[in-house]
Amino acid sequence: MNEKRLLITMGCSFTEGVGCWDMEITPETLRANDRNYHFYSNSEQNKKRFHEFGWPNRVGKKLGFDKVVNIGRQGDGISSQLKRFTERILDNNQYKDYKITIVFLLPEPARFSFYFDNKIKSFGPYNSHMGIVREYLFNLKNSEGDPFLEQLFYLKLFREMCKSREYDYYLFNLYTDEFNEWIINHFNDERYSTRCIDFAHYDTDHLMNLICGHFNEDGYELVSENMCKFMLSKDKNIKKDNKNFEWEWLGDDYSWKEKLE
Amino acid sequence: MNLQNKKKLLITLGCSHTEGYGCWDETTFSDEMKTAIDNCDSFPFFKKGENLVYHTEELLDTNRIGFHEKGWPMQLGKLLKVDKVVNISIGSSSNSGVVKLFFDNNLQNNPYKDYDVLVVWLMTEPFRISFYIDGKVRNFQNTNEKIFDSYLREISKSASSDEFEHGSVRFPKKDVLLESIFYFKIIETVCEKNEWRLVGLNFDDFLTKEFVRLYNSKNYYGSDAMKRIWAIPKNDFEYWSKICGHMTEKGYGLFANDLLDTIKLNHSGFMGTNINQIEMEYLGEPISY
Repeated sequence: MNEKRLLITMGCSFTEGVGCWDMEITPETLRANDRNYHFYSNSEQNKKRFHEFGWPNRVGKKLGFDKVVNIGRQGDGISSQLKRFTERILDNNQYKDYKITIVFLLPEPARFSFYFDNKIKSFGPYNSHMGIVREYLFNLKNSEGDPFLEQLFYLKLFREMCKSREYDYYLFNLYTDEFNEWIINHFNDERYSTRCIDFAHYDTDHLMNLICGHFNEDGYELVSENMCKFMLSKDKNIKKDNKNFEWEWLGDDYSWKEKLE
Repeated sequence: MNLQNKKKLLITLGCSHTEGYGCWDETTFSDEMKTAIDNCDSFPFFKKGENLVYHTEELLDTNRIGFHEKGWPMQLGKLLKVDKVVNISIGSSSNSGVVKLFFDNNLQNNPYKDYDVLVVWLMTEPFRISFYIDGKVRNFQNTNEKIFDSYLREISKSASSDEFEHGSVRFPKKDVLLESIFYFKIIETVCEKNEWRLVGLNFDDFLTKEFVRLYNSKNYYGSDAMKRIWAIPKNDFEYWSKICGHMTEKGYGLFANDLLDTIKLNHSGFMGTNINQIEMEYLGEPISY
């Protein structure tokens, strides 16, 4: 039987596809420190492009998945992504007929999340003006390893979720060698790959964009190639021929309010 | 080997109420503390700020073994005639914090394959939070702690009619319950994978009603097992500790008996035969990385 295959992608802005700007609507003068950056990154036209041209659909197409569901969202940390994963995928019977593979590009470790106004709210060093972030960062001043422990805990949760549902999974990260080494030592998992782009071996300038410091489409193409290489090294049968490809972005807020009303 | 023939293991998760806090050994109190208790005009004794000088690490350390031996986990273990009790709980723990301890101890990898396992989680107040700080799990529930205070300020911005009060503090109840539900689902997932039975409980009707509205789980049994103990006045010091306001050994016994009824009704196969001493393992101490 030809079972339909679903690729679920998880992560932060690098998974949402931020960086694939629509230059026709984006002022050329826009830079990362421009306060209009968030306005433009949230504009519907840019968002649609981000979701279409980031690495998730590229990996999905290269490996012949029938469908990609991308729950990556800018600002998210690992805990917010797991909460989103629980709401959108685990609790959802819609995907029960698919064989599911998950690719998780790990966000920066110092992010955390809580439910706020019935929605998942992420916090991180990027909003250090907020009291709770300031206090958290203050508590970390003598122990830089604590966010790694938080990350390790949620990685274990993620692995349990996948094992319990027999989902195949792959983990990647973009962060430091120190982090890689720590994770490899404490989270012994053959499905964890070190950087999906080795910054030391590429001239990354032409892979990033100046507006926000994320990858551009060339960058995401290279990320997707490296991810596919790693996935094929673990499962040579993961690539199939498939012409009918569909995709969906589900990184928006699940509405508990609607559910309860 | 089928489950019936396996040895029985009870794993308990929770906060101070599961650690057994309240089963004080009065012989460990200093003369000065005894005098202060005799002169105290309102109880619980530790509720008065000035009496907290007696609430020392040393006092806790000398009482901890008694807490673990006399609390509801061991009493329930005896009623169920289990072979072993593993208690993962610590005073002040949050729901997320206890799940972190569970994973830090690698219970998700099922180190108890030889046992028929029942997990009982007496969930704590849902507004408590946890972080890894200085290499180990720390829980926060007190507005004197800046990180908790700032969390509270942040989430309270969304509190309107959907709120509950804890002391002078108002919380948006759905938000904090959604947080707890996420961690409950994690434990459910692990139990399902390891083929363990799970009984989730809450302190009171109010939280139970809201929890069920947000997440209707076959593993969640609400607060019925606590109805009889809650009906006993807090100034009945046979059941409630005059020192800290938690249950006494007798109070925990009443709760364990009522919990036994819930377990018999829903997990009738989980009844052991052990009449000898129960092996006890306490895993509530945060692991230091």
